[in-house]
Amino acid sequence: MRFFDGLKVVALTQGWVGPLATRILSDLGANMVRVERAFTPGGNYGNRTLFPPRNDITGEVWNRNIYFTVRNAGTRSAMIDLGQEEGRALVRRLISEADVVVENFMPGVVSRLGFDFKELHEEFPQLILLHLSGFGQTGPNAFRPANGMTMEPASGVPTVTGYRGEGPTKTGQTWVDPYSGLHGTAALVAALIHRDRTGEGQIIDVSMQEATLPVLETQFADYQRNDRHQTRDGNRRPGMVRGSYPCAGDDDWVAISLRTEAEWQAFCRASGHAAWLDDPRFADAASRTEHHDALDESIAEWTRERDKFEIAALLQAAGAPAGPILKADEVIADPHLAAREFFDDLAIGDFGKVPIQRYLPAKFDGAGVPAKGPAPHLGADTDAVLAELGLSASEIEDLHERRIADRASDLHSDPIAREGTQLPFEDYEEMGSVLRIDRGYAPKPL
Amino acid sequence: MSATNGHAASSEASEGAAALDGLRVVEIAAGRAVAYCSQLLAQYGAEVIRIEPPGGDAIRLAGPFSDDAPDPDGGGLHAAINRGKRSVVLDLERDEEAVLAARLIEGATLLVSDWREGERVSPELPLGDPNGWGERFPETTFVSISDFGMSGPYASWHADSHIIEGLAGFSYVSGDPDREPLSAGIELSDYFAATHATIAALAAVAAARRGQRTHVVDVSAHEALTMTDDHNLVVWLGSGVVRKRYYSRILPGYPNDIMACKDGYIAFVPVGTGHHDFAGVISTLLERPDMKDSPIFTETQTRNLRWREFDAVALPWLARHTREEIFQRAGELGLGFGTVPDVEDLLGDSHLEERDYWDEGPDGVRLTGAGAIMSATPQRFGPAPALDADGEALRASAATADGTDGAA
Repeated sequence: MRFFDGLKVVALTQGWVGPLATRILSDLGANMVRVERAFTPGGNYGNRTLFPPRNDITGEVWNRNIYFTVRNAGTRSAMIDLGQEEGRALVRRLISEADVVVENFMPGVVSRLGFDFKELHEEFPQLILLHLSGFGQTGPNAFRPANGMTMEPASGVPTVTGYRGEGPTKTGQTWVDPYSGLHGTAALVAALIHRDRTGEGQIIDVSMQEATLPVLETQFADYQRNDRHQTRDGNRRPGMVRGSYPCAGDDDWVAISLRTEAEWQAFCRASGHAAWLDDPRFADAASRTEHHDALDESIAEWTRERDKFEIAALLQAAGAPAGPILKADEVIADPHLAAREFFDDLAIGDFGKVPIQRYLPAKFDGAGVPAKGPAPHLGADTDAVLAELGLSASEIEDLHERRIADRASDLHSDPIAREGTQLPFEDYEEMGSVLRIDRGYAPKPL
Repeated sequence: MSATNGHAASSEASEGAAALDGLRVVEIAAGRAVAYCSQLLAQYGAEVIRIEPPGGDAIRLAGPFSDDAPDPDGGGLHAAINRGKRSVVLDLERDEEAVLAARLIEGATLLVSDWREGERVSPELPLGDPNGWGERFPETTFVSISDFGMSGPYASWHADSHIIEGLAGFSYVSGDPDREPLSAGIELSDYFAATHATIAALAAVAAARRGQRTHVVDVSAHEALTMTDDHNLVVWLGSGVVRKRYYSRILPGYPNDIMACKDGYIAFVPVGTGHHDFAGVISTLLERPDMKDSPIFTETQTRNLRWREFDAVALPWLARHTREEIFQRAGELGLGFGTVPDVEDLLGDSHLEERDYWDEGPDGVRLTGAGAIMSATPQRFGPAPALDADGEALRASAATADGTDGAA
């Protein structure tokens, strides 16, 4: 489903929110060129050097990174030095021929590099220019540093996430990055539709905070209408039987959510607790909510010696919603995701092939949207991109000699790039933030 | 429909333009994800016709209601995620009303609804039959949003966000290590599904205008949420490591928790500082210069592992200072921290005010604004419709050849 075949996108991106938007456009067919820095000693190589597989730093760490692959699979990498005037001029030429530019630096950074979006819009009115930032391009918080870990709290969601009666907490995933990136992507595609019709480009300003706030509409409404602050109640919801229950196995759990009377009855019968249907404590939704603690204990007594997958299958077959709570290896092995072709096996440099999730996991008349291929090696597409700009082979070579462009930098002399960000997994296992380490695990061979 | 929220950039916009001008969308009411997806399409300028069951759908009945008095036109969630739509009540169980629905759909570019295996397979409205859809409605793309998609072993399963967060590997890493996994306090999978469906719907529209028509778009909430995981999957795929929830932290970096202070909470996640002297700055902030050379401050991994020792220094200091004092002092030192606002804080937030974020709802209630400021095509909001507000006109129009009533 390469709907946007022929669309040219230039990415000045880092982290997650920007690459997410541009990978989706690439998966949909766009020619997505990511401008990457030339060698800068002590520089920040971001996703390219974050957590090398197996903490292995013997190869080109920056070309064998799973993080980078997830976020940039199928895109192209042009290594052009934005620190030099000629480098900036080359990127400006690239932009002049593009349809879309995406950036997610702190407000003002791309302007200082010479890519002010308002100026670009005036010069190239057909361009669609997307800013993604924590708090948007204007306002008193615009320059407040932001990342996914601060933007989840800034969204207000932790005020309703947490155990009953305890303080607010984040979730264990930095979900505001992808969520706001999706909003940016939607706005981009809407802008493309408008441009197809009118020829008019535009500037889009996405604030991660603003994109996320609508998830709290119920809480905003309750406060304004009833002066009520909804707060943390663990996994529960009013009127529902809802919880995570322990199962047989190594820290195994099953999630159960019973919304209706019919689902409650199905649950009781399927779990062998038909007697609960006559128990006055559980007579209706209100009484079940009132006696949820007692109910939780009874349900846990039933689940504790059972397999989470068997419980989920049993309850779902009976019409009672439930599902196993999966660990990372179980997500990868999930038969439903496999049947839906949610993952594509992609090469991670010389490490091997691993399953990488689709970033737009929708199906169009049954066909999915896989990445175009593995993530690009650093600078792998530099020469091709420059040639597409009309530069001759000798001109390209000259740019390489002057380190304005690079096709495959050797970063071994930079310890930050060479060593990447490694993690002491054994220590984490001892501390408790790692459940287990499968030392026999190996990726699929290339 | 009026442009009520374009943020600051709206003043530069082409007057009256919206990205989806002239596009008609029919929504068959089916939960939050479907409603929010079609609301986003309405924000982009589409005309959205919402087909609702007699008495209204679950969104109308979800509240919150003023003084908890149920009112199908007065619910807070309805007011928020059905904005700018038109409403018609049709009982799709009755053949003659299904025929009217089909006529409305024939005149639309998109239909947004859910899908359940084996449900609603009828010649007039073959929602359960993706293969028959293109034949019956050749000009309308059916955007299906369901819990698990239209195929696969879980296709017939039912779920809510709690179950999907579990299957996505999301809740296993959320919460405390010795307690049950925790799901988010909101219906997260609905919002991810809605946003994915919006992108997919828009891509299908763009493709159709380039000559590539899609008949059925199949979006799974399960997949929409699972795609957000990269930290857990990456460390498993790269190193054979299975993460476990540990106070909702990701593996590297400490502090990155929400912590209590004198008058509430702050997100103790120092970011974007440009400082390479974390130890010097943090020891100054916490008024513990004696610890400047402590490995708890100077070594990232030591601090990760011995975080309780860090907390022993940080928490008492935080407890003595208000949020404002902390932000001011941290700002002077070039440290960025996160706020943890509640809804009251957000509604009064000066930054959001200055960006003209909020939309004005009924009775002066504030509703959230656009997630993206678009300079040429500002997003639009209108009021949420009363139940069947447009029923008479739409039922009458359904009798015409193309199902339109000229209101778009």
